[in-house]
Amino acid sequence: MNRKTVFVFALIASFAAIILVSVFGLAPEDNIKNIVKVQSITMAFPSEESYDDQGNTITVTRLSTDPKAVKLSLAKKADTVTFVLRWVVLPLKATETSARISASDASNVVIGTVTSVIEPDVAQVFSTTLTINTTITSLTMTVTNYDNTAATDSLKILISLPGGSIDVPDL
Amino acid sequence: MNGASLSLRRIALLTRMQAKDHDKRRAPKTKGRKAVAIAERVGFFLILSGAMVGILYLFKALAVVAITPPLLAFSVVLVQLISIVSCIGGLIDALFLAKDNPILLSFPAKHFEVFLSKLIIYYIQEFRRNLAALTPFLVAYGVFTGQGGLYWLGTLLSVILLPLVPVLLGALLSYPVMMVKKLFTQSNLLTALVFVALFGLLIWGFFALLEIIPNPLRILSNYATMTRFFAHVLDLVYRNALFLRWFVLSLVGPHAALNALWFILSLVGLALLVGVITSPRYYGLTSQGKSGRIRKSSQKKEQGKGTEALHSTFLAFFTKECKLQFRHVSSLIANYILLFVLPFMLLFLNACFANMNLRPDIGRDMVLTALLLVSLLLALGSNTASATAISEEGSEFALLKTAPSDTATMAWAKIAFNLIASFAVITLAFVILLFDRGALSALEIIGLWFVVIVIDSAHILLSFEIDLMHPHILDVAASGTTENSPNITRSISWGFAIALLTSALACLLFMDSYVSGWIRLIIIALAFLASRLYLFSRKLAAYFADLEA
Repeated sequence: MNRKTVFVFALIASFAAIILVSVFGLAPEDNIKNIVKVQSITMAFPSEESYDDQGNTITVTRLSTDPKAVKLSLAKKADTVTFVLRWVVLPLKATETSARISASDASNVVIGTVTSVIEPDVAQVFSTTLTINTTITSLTMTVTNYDNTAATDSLKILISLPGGSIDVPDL
Repeated sequence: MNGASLSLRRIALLTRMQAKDHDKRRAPKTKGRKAVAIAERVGFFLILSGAMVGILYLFKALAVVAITPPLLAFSVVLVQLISIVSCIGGLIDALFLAKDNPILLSFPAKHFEVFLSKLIIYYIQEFRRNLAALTPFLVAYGVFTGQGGLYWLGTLLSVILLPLVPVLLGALLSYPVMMVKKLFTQSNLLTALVFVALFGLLIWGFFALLEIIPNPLRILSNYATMTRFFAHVLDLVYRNALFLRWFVLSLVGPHAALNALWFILSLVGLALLVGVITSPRYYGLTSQGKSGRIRKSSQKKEQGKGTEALHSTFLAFFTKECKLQFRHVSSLIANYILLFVLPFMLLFLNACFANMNLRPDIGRDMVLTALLLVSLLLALGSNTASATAISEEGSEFALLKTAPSDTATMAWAKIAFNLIASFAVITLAFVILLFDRGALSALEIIGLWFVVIVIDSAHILLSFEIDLMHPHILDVAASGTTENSPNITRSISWGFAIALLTSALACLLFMDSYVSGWIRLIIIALAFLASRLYLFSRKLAAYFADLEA
């Protein structure tokens, strides 16, 4: 045993201590099982807003019949359609949350996941760019806690493709 | 026999001559022993590769980092950087300062052949290091990701080609680095200024690091963000890996052959630069005959100073010890380097814990235990000077013992410097902690300081006892150095065990009952010190007189 070994061990012990205290030593309100849930999510698509990207025209319409759904009308001009999804969360504590975006017509295959750290008590707008290159008719976006234990809200996005469906088979 | 083959024979001969000096290991003589040695190395290689596959699986399971080319590039760059630094230092000594230069250059060989033989020695060293460090990782990566034949061919070639990178870069950079070193050794003022500037930069960088610790710190709840940060760092290294990126792409990327060609061309370019830039410098310096010359110190001896009578034997020995310690700054740094690290490590840990919302019971106990463990590990690892206090005297020890006074006082003088240095640095570290208490109260910090000081003092006595009972005076007299002394290893091992035991005991005592736990811990620490003090004085009285050079 020499000084290098002791130094490396002290370094490892320090980081191990930080991790161990993070797991077992945090106050109940900060313990991982008690991370406060994301309070709510809302999609931040204003009605009839158009997004242009790569030559595609995307029009977003909030359905009056279902407040949990928005309709995206896509006028396709390219092989893939890229558009921006934005959402708002209002958490109670600073934590990490992820938005999972699933294509419901393809057996709920997750086609996008984005993770963000959110500050407590402030409604925050997040966005992710999503590229669709296959045949789908609807998307479901779910915001969850970091450990995927608590899905708090989800929002369905219906897609209509007046320019024809996009069918690229390698999803 | 033509000129080229004669030249190769001369290079091989020169290399073999230097390799004998460079590699102290004894080569196995019989065939059976050779086979055992080869089997051992192959076994070690396979175990290491298997362990690395396990680590990669762990990385994947915990989603720490993705097992992708950026990780491969990061590993290659890291190992190469370490090797380059090592090669620069080694090649400065081997090329420009080696005492064997005049001898080698007097042989009937061309200067370039001597130069090349010196580089080959370092190539062999890097080849071995590569086999023990990077190649197992390349194998593990290939197995884990199920790479094809082209990858394995590249890995095989990398065993030969990759060691050239640190050797060539080391050779190229050794001359400018040596000139900078020379500049510093010639000007004490410049050295002091640079030291102060670097120290200031270190302090500034350290406090900047403390500033970026998130508040609140919740590692697990922000796990994905952390792993994304790792991925970002790996990607940054991958994109800026210069010609090593070509090497990685030649293994796993598209256009493998083209990237391999670029990598080989970059090695050829480096070799040409070494031939054009470094080798003429080598001939120039060695022909001036400066290598190996011992330069007499220009220090003026101050007559009369220091000759005033020191009536106290203890003070006389203590003054001598202080002078010796500061005269050999490198050994002072080596002995106390862990102690210098202590304040930084404590502040970093405390800053992390301060940003956590801790549970008042187990959270606080864990923090106290962690701070105690790290403090003790670093403090007790710095008592090596006491573990060689008698041995380091070497042949002078017999003379010291003839002094007409109680020479056992020398023992106290020898450990006094260690005691004072440890006390000062540990106290400084905890005083700084008092100003930035974080999760702890002032009383808790003072309690920790007291326990660390008491245990450290006991360990200093124990370390001296180790040297008292097993002095290596003759070894030091023969070798002139205490480096690699078994007493250093014993002192560090004891310190390591004491730090672990004390921390485990402290954790149990705190968890049992916080207040009485503190009292019991302090009593145990004081009892340990008292027992060491008793044993030290008894052994000093019993054995010191028997010590002979």
